[in-house]
Amino acid sequence: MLRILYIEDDPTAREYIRKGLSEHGYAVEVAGDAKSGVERALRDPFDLLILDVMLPDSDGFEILRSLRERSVQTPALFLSARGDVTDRIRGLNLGADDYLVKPFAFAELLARIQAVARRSLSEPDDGHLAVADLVLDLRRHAVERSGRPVELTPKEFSLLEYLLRNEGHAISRTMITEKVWGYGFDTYSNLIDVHINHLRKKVDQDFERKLIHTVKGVGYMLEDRSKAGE
Amino acid sequence: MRVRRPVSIGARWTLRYTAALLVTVSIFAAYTYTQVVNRTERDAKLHLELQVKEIANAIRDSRATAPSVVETVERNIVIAESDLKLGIRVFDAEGSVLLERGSLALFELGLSGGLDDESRDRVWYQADFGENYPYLVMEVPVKRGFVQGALYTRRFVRNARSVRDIYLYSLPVLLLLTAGLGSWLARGSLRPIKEINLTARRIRGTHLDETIPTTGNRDELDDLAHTLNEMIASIRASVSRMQRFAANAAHELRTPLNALRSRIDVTLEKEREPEEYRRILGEMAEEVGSLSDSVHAMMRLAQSEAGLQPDQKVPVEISSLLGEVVEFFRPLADDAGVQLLVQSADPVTVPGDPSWLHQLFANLLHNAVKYTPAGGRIEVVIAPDEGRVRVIVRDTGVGIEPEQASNVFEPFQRVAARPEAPGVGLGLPLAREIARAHGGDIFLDSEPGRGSTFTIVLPTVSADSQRR
Repeated sequence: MLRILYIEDDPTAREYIRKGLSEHGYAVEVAGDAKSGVERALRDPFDLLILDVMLPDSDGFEILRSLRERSVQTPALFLSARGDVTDRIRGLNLGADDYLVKPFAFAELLARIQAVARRSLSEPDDGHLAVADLVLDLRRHAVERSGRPVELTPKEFSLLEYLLRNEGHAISRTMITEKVWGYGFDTYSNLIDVHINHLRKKVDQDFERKLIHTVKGVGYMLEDRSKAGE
Repeated sequence: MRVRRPVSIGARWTLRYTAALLVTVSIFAAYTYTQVVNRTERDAKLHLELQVKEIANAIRDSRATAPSVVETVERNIVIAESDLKLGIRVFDAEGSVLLERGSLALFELGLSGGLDDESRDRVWYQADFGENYPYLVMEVPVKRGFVQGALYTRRFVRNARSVRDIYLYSLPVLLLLTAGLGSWLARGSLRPIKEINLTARRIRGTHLDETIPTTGNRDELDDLAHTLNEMIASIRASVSRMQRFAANAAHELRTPLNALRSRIDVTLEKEREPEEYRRILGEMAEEVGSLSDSVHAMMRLAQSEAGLQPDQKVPVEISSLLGEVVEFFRPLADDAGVQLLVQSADPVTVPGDPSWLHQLFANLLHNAVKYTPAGGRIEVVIAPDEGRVRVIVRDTGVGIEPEQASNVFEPFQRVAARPEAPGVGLGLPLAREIARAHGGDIFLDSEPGRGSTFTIVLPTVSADSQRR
């Protein structure tokens, strides 16, 4: 079970997120200010820190900095009401693993927690990512489905690669704009649907087994669901 | 620490005027006084010299016939006596008084020098006999003797003293007068400042329609009043823009919030299947999501209106950034049956915030795709120029009526001809604010039914380095 420490000063947010995460099987501990949060993080080992950026006695950046100085390498995820690129970059430079702007859908937070938790897994890299009969060759920048080549634009290739690397996990639209396009399109995250549809046409349309699935309220997931029925 | 009582400018000016006058008048008075003293002294000397010389000449000419000398002396004294006290004594070579007439008879005055030297020149001195005024004395050697004349200098000294007194008595009056006049003048010239102050005090967030009265005489204070009026006007404009923005924003948020509210009420009215609750909650989550998108867009607009921070600026290569944005929108254009063409250009760098510029081009492309019907075409051209770059986004869409063209950049102004537009209507206003935050601007050239051309101008050299 993943152990999470959540530092947040707003009691309402703290409580509903704690509740939501517990319901999803995470062991969540909470702290209401930076001081007790840092003490907690130093006393016990956690698998993930969720830090609110703005706290009454300090800020999330400071907490992470002081923890990293004391060689606490726990992965961290920032929550902030401020969506400035500079803040985001500052957080990521401090060694945070992700940065989520409030308000966010709870499913978005779940998807990101899972992604951060997975990040520690090493990549079994022979240069190929594969699900069912779909194979993506990272070295040759080529994709095959059932042995037949699939022509993709560079962005479609990156999108498919990102979905493959997160196989079996829901990925939000915002995560896709951030990870595949880098930055800036968060107001156009709905356009991701158009990109996914184009990708589906090339990868899924002509095949019985659909691999790219819509996850309601979150985004998308690449998964071979036929296995479960077998 | 010494606490100084505040002294008003008017009082300080008055003090300075008065001090300046005091110095000027004192110097002038001292000068005239010494002049008067010198002149009267010279007059007195001249007067005495005239008398004494005449007697001396009479003695020299008389061949010592005493009666004629006595006669001359008496005549002179009588003439002089009419308005001056004059005394004449004649000494022989041994110093014995031969003759004594006039006021000199009232006191004892010997000869000042030795009697032996006949060639001794005339002697001047002042003699004080305990009276209020000194006597001016002149001794002239004559044949075997001396003539001594004494002149009572009351009249001369009094003249000088009265000049001094005039100054002494009139100075306080003069100073008082100057102080009064000075403070009146100061108050007069400071009145505009007082008015500015009063108006400024009346101006609060709600009373921005006040203006400071101008005198129209184009002096420094009139200038100040004009400058302040301009400042007030620009504050007034931005406050009313903010008020309009806030009102529009509240209105934009109220409508979907009311809809949400009534959905919740209707849902709660009766028992429903869990599946139905789940569906309704899911839909509401989406509506809340789009509400929060609207809030995000408003925050972005407010942020970009505040301008770009200098540390936000990095060199941004426009062609590759634009290329990325175009590729992002290409699937959307493909689906809409719209051709999307980019005229490639050499790399051109703009100092700015990449994510803001991203947003700027995305908003323009989104707008172009939205309003261009199937079969249409969108062209993006990058045209570098001296010190700036123009990015032209030309579509063959529905276009905008000329009288509506300026409205498209105003927040919340959905253009009448395009009522189907989704969203809050902040895309183009945000685009313009971003362009302006980068020191550039955005222009629209449109023809209804033929299409629109948006031209974005961005400086390629940062304003900071230009100043250097």
